[in-house]
Amino acid sequence: MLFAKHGPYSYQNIRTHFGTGIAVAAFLMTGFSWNFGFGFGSRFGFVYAGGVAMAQTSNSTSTQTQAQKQAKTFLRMAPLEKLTVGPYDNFQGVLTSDGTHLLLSQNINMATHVQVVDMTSVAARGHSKSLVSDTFDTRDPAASPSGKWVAYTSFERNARGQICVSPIEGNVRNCLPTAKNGARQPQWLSEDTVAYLEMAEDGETENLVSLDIQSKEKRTFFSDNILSFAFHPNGKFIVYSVAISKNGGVPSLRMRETGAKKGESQKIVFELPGLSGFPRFNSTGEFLYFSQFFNDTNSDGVIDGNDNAVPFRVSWGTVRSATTPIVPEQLISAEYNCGYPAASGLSLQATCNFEASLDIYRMPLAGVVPTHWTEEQILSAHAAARSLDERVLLLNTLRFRFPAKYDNAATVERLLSNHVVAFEFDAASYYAGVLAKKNASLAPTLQTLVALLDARNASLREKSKLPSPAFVSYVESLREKVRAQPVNEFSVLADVSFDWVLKKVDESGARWRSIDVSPFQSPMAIFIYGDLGKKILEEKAQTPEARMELERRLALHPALSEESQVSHALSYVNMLGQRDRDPKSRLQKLQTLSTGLLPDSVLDVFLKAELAAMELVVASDAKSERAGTLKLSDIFVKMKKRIFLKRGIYVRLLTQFTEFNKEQAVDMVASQWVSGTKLLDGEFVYAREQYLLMRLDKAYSYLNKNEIGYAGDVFYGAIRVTDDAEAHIGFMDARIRKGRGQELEKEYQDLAKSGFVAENFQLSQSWRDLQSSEIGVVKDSIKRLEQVIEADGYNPSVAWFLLGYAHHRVAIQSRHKLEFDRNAVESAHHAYSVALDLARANKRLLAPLYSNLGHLHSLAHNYGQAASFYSERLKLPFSSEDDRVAVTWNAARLAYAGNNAQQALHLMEGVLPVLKQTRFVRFQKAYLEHAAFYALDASNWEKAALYYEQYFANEGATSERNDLKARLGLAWAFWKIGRSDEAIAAAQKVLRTWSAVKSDELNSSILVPFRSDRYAAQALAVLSDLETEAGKAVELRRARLNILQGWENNLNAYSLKKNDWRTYVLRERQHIAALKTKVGDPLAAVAWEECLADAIKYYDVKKETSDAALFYSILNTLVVIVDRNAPVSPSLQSKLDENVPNYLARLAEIANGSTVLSTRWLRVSLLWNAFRVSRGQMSVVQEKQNREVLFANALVKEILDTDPAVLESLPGRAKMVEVLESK
Amino acid sequence: MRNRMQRICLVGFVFVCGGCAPTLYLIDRPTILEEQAAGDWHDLERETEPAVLKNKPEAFAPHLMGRGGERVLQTLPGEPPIKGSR
Repeated sequence: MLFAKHGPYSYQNIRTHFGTGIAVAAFLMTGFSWNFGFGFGSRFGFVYAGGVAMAQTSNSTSTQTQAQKQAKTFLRMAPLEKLTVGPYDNFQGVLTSDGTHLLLSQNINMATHVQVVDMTSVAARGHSKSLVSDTFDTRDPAASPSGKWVAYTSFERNARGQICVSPIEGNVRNCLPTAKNGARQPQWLSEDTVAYLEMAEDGETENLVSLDIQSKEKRTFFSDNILSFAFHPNGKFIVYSVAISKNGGVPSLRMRETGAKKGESQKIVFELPGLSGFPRFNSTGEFLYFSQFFNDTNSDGVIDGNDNAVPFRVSWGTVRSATTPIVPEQLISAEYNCGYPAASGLSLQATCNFEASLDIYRMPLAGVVPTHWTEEQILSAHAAARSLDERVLLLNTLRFRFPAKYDNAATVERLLSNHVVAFEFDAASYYAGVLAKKNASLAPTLQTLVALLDARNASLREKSKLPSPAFVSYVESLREKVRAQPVNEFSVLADVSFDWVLKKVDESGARWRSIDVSPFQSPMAIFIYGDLGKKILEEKAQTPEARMELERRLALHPALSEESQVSHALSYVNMLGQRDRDPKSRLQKLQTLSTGLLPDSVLDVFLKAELAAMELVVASDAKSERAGTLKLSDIFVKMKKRIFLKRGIYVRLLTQFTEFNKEQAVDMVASQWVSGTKLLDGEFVYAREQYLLMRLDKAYSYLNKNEIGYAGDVFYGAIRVTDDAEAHIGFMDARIRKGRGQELEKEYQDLAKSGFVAENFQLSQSWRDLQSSEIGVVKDSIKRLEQVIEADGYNPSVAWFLLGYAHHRVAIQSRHKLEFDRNAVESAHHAYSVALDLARANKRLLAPLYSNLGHLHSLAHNYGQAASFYSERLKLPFSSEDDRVAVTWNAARLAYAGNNAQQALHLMEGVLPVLKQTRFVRFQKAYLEHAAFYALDASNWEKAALYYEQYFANEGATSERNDLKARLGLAWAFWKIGRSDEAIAAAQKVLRTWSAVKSDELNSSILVPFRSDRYAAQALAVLSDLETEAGKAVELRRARLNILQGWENNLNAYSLKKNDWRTYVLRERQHIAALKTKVGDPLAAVAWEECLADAIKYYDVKKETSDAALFYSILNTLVVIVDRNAPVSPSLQSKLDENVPNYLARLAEIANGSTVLSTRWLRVSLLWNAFRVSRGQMSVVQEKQNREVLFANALVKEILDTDPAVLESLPGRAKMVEVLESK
Repeated sequence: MRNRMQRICLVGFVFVCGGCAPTLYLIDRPTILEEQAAGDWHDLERETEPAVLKNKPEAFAPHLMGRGGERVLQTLPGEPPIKGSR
């Protein structure tokens, strides 16, 4: 049965909602009416628990729809409820005994913290919090029996761990005395006593100890290499797992009496492959839960706690009385990799890892296979299983629940078979050993098989390309063993395998080809023959025909079961289709290939179905199409009772018709599948789910063709039989779009009255409320949606999605400047995240979820996250170019907000060409302007100029402000690409127009007010940079300086920090002084004096940040004076005399090993001396002596030691030397 | 000039008087730069919102759903026994 990881099938629908009686009758009577069908309940692999209503999986609601009543009869496993969500790994989850809190360890960037999640309501779920501080690691949470206290391992004061206790509300912590070598894994023995592991003095073993928190009385139970432990609730027994010990013990699960002396323990032996660990008792002590590690799934050479885990349980009475290996109860399929089982309250919690992150899930205490299932139901589920792991779960369930019939060699053989087919060699070898003991006649054959499996297993651990000598020797020893056995069908296969793993490809190929498989009687030998054949043919790059021939031969092999024949036939026709994609040519080949086969044999039926399908695909008129359909109908009738053949044919036909876009044919096959499958058949849920998918596809197809009325009818049909949430929304949306929204209230009342809608009545009401612009109405919908979720509604991702949307609307409503309602944002994020997890592969839901999450995080200024959600959205398709263009606008803005201007530009350029075909064509100017802006920031000047030019050429509406900004951007882009005249023209236009563009008020409450003189100042900067005449350039810079100086008292309005503004003012002054110096203006020194005066002023005002400004002012002043022999006024002289020595003294004081400051000190010192020489204040000899002192100074030594070139590159030094030499 | 613009816009502080304690907003560089140097398109922002913020599934046509690997369409080989029953 299924336990859907992907797609439509899931545990969810224990109560799947399907009006089978009505629906099937409708099928049979109406001939698959297009407007009547099935929605689909949950297309998801699990549900997200909505709160305290957790265990209400089968009988929680008072009202049941027709669909629900029928659904109870379906064979569905119990839902795996997801308790945590989000990007981080969550593990070690355990619920308090009253189920009100979930404790877990959460790993974020390698830091682990114990978290507490309030489980009392849906609303509370989004707000988990750390139990104690996040500044140190904590893990291993354990709730006290009352649920009021939490014990955990803290790494705050001891890197090896210390046990601490906190109230569940957190914050306060009481840590137990630190063990020298660390402590971990606390467990409560009573409300006052905590047991834990403490590293023993020898540093190798661990003591299991307990401590009474009140009396501080400590007790040591025993020491061993303990990995994990559990105390029986009666306090009399301890079960624990041990690692490999130094004296050769093997990892195992052991039990002992609490008061037993050292060494008095007993191994608990399960009849299971692999290792057992992580024991836990349920609250009554009736059952022992543990994790089993079947195989070395991570290929690290050992089976250990890092491999895939499977939870099991066994009754404690059985453990106590067992004298032979115990067959325990498997609780969930291995594919979900669930560890850390914890049985508390009414559920089992486990940490599962099957979709790239660890999360906490819960399930019934007896696991996911409903306890009321009969033997026939389990067998039916087994026949319909979609994974080998699921088959193993169901076989183990049969073996546990019906031991008289299934705890035998035949079941072990089937378990062995599944592990062989799954290439799980460790488990396969184990079961081969068990089988050999149970069926002695098979022992010799099994020994050969085990040798073959062991060789394959060992080869997986070979790291180098060539086989190691040890490996060669090992394989050859296996070969010897096999040769010592009587020859059987596995003997020659073992030889082929040995050659294969030893990389003797030619030898293994030759051996394999020499095998005549036709007389083989052992299906497993035939399987291995086929597997080796595939490998050999692929390695030798044989033609596809060789592979096809192998599949054909196996599909016809009489020793194989029909299920296996179907598997090979399916592979054969799949390869046939891949070889020849043209349906007409395929049709021709099929006619040849299908001749001479045994009538009604598996391959014969497959090829006939393939022929009929191709006839239907190439049919050019209704008549030929009907002929193809009729042929298929004949086939459907013939294969009625052949379940595996039927499934194979349906799967193949669906794939075929989808490939050739034959929508009606796809719909017909899906209809046939569901109507041709019995309601109580395990296959039925798959057939039905597939059909439901097709119904929704049909409805959406109508929507895409703008046939809204038909779409509404198909959705309506789906609602009547499924109560599916997605169908509800589709139906209501279609009605509103058809202008029939006002009829909905009445229609829903009728649906409810007739029992076709239950929980989703609330959901549909909420959706209609969410169309309202009144926030009060939106808020009302939140409570209703929470009720839907708590009632475990169908297709729960939709309910979570709408709940997220409702909170999102509240967050939008709360937005004011940069503020927003954080609670609303968090709740929306949480609900969307759950919906995202539950939506799985449903792109129709994923698309709006990603988009909404992008919008939400944009609102909350989490630009990185917003950009990443938009990026995910852009990977999915769009229903229309309008949507693509709209989403891209937002995605680009977020990419830019995340400092990725290049990506923003790329996104914009992606939609510029299609704008004309959308309703956003009237905003073409906006797209061009923003593309240009992003290009500018990405330093892509050419594109910036291009798009700004296109912006001005476009006749769309804009504003004077936008034009002013774009004109400045254009000037800048032109300047950067050397189109100086155009840059000047654009900048001059800015200067001509800015004053006419109204600015926002200086004291405006706008966060970034528009101030038009900003653009004038920037245009002046462009113009002065491009001005070749120094005199004019000085004037332009003076004008810019005036504007800048005018901002001094209103810097907030320009988003400027004081020191930045000072830097710009100083820089303008320096430019002016430099320009004056350049042209020999006698007032250059005055300009420098002004510059220095400002620098000194600002330096005085805020010393710590204006060092650089003062440094550059002094440096430039000195360089200009020394370099150009500029005049020095008495006042400048006095400023220099006063400030430079002070500045040097301060630098010497604070340099303190800083290369930057030391370099500054050296530069200014050298230039200052040069200046003094040039002014006659110092002799050349003195300067030289002083220079030597300078170079010997500790401040300079580091610069010279590390990089002597620094000295050479000092600006002004060359001139200084020249000046000195001239003296 | 752009460097200047960037520096001007590096970090902005806006104090909003609200009772006795001012509200302090720390605005990031791209936001300020975009406000100052890029156009304002409020109408467009408003018009894109319904396409970005949705309360219903996207009506993708079936061919956009990219189906094919669903569990429902998976088949398994049989459980091959050691000895044949035929």
